[in-house]
Amino acid sequence: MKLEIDKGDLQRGLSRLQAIVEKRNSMPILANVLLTASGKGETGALELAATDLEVGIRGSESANVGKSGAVTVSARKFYDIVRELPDELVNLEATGNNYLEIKCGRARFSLAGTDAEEYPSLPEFSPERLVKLQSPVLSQMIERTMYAASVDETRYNLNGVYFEVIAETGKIRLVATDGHRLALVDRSVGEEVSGLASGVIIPRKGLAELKRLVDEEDADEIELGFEGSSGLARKGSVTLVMRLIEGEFPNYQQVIPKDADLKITLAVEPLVRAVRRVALLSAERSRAIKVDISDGKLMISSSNPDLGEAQEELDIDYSGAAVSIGFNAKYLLESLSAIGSKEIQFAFKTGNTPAEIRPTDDADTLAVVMPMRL
Amino acid sequence: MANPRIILHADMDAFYASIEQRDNPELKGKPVCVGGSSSRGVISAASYEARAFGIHSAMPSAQARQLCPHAIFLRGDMAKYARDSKRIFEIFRRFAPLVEGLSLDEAFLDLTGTERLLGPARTVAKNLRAAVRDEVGLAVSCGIAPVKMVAKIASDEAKPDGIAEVTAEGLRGFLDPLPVGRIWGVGPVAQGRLAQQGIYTIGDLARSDPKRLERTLGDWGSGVRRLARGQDVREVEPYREAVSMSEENTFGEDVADRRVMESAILSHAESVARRLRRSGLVARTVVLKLKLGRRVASGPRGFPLLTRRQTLREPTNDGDVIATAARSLLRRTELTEPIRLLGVGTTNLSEANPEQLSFLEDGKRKERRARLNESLDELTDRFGPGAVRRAGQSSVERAGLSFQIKRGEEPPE
Repeated sequence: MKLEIDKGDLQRGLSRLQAIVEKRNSMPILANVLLTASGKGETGALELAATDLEVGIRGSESANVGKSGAVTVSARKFYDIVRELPDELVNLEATGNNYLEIKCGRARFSLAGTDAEEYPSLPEFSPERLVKLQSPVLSQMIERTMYAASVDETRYNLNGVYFEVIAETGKIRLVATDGHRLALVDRSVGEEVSGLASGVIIPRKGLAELKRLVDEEDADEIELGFEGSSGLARKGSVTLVMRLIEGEFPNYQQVIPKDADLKITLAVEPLVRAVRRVALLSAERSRAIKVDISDGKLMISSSNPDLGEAQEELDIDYSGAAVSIGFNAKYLLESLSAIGSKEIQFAFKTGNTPAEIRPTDDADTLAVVMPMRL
Repeated sequence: MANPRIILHADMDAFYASIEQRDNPELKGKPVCVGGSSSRGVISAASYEARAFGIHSAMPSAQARQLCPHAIFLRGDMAKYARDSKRIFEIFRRFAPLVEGLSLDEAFLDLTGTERLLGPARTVAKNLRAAVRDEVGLAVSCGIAPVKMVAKIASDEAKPDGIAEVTAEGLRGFLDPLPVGRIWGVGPVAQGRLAQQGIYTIGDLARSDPKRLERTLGDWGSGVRRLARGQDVREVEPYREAVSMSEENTFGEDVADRRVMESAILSHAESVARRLRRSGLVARTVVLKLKLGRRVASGPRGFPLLTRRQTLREPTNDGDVIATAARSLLRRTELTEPIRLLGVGTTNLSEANPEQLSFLEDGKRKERRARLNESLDELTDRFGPGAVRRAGQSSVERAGLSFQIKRGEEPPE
């Protein structure tokens, strides 16, 4: 393998892989990036690939290839070196014993690597159906739901975001829950989506990578497809493959309250500020705050045996029954900040039943938060 | 006594109720009951005005309402009480190098050797009472005596809002006329056995024949007699886990059958858990205590004692969880001889956090247990201990020999 590549292109290609290889892994070779040069001369390409066996990314950068071939080297070290190089063309050459020689300006490195043959292959598959989605829409959907996914590894079926196509509306739906709160968003993505997926769970890590890819500025569209227990996303020259979570996602429809008929409208920013302030004196572990809703008044309060008490009042338009609800302040704040709206409707019933948060200007987004028993 | 000590027992007067009266002037001078605002709960504190009607803590609130229909019933605010407790203990520590907290509202202070610095014990008590009143706005009663047990009895005599001092010389005169039940650990069972021997007062006990006492109470007899004579060798232990709850029993006959032990564990675990719940606490560490039947030295401490502890992944106030941990500790303990005493304790206590509710099944299981415990507590409050038993929880006779000071459960009147 011998080639010449623009330093910026190489750096971008390597940077994209770092989150995948960074994690400590039982297989040392998974800390490596697989470099494969193909083609000949100016039209050639350098493919950079990495995987942790759950998620894999493969991207191509154009290069002037002198000799095709492949080698793998430490992704982290290679990236550190490239970042420090001057903005010039970089010469890469695989030499004997799997060393990679890096030359740029007057700098020269010889980086020890491993035989490319030993690198596990990324799953090769091409879903029957790939659907084009607008990147900003998908990015926003992920942002609004991922926070609610569980980090408790014993609940593996909740360690991801549920992705499904709603046949009646032709929209895509993302849902996440950890048992204490739930986030749901529906969006139409500008293309016929039927048959794309009948309910799959995308793991948090895969979703984080997908988000990173979607947020890269080079293209407005991303293609997405599923097959069996794998998912694939393609954007420009980059392909992301991931293993989906095999398991049943709970029946989230049951969680969305049907009888939360007491409702108030609240401006998000003052509410968030008040909750943040009051939460400063909430118990460290539970982060419990109390919300008292009564005639024209919403009072948020907290108390901590070691520190003291805090309370703050907001004016509301309300004349129903007085209700007291305990919440984990963190859950409330995360839902409010992810909901992406200036004003919400807060629907509730009692202190022990789920409360629902919906933006007043977006019928397709909602969050459900389960209270704390006070 | 070789080394005369001066112990002060400080005990807040009607702690929770006094705090409520302090914070709400409208309640002053009125009968106030804290806890048990629901019809089935029990009172956890009653103001002196309420006590005048015969209301006392641990009384079912329905009964209290009958005794005094116009009493004010409050739900109580544990967080607030805990904050006041913290301030009070800070004051205690200004008056003694050694402070042993027994619960939120009472402590032993060892004043031995502080006289030159702080003055005589009575002056310390006066200053301490003034400091608590000025800084926290609450009344505290103080008992002073050469030994812990007598200091505690003295503070009781001092209530409300007073000081009682018992000197080494006056000690027997003070104790002798009191009923035997005032001695720590002399519960109804021991009282009954003593009454059969014509022993009613502490003086009777002190004068009784040690041999006969041992026949009546077992090996414990000589220890009780020493206490009755005002000989309580226990020191003020500041590092004692001030917050711990435990329950133990001495078996009528030494026990080798592990099924009997497990049954005792279940019974103690449920009782400890109930007291935790009543105090709004959760425990992180479970302790199993076993005393072997073989005597290796004279006196009540002459039996080998084994303690085993296990720290749980998350704090609990569920009897089932405590019993499971204690049973597994028992299983891991090699026992080659019968035991005479078994205790289940919990330490590493903290305030119970409000419980995060869940909408999925596995989270609901814990909720259901919490609700079940709530209902069981209500039944027990209403019909007394033993009204509800888990299968396998046989009634373990409580010889009433525990030295533990219990929070969350008042001794039966």
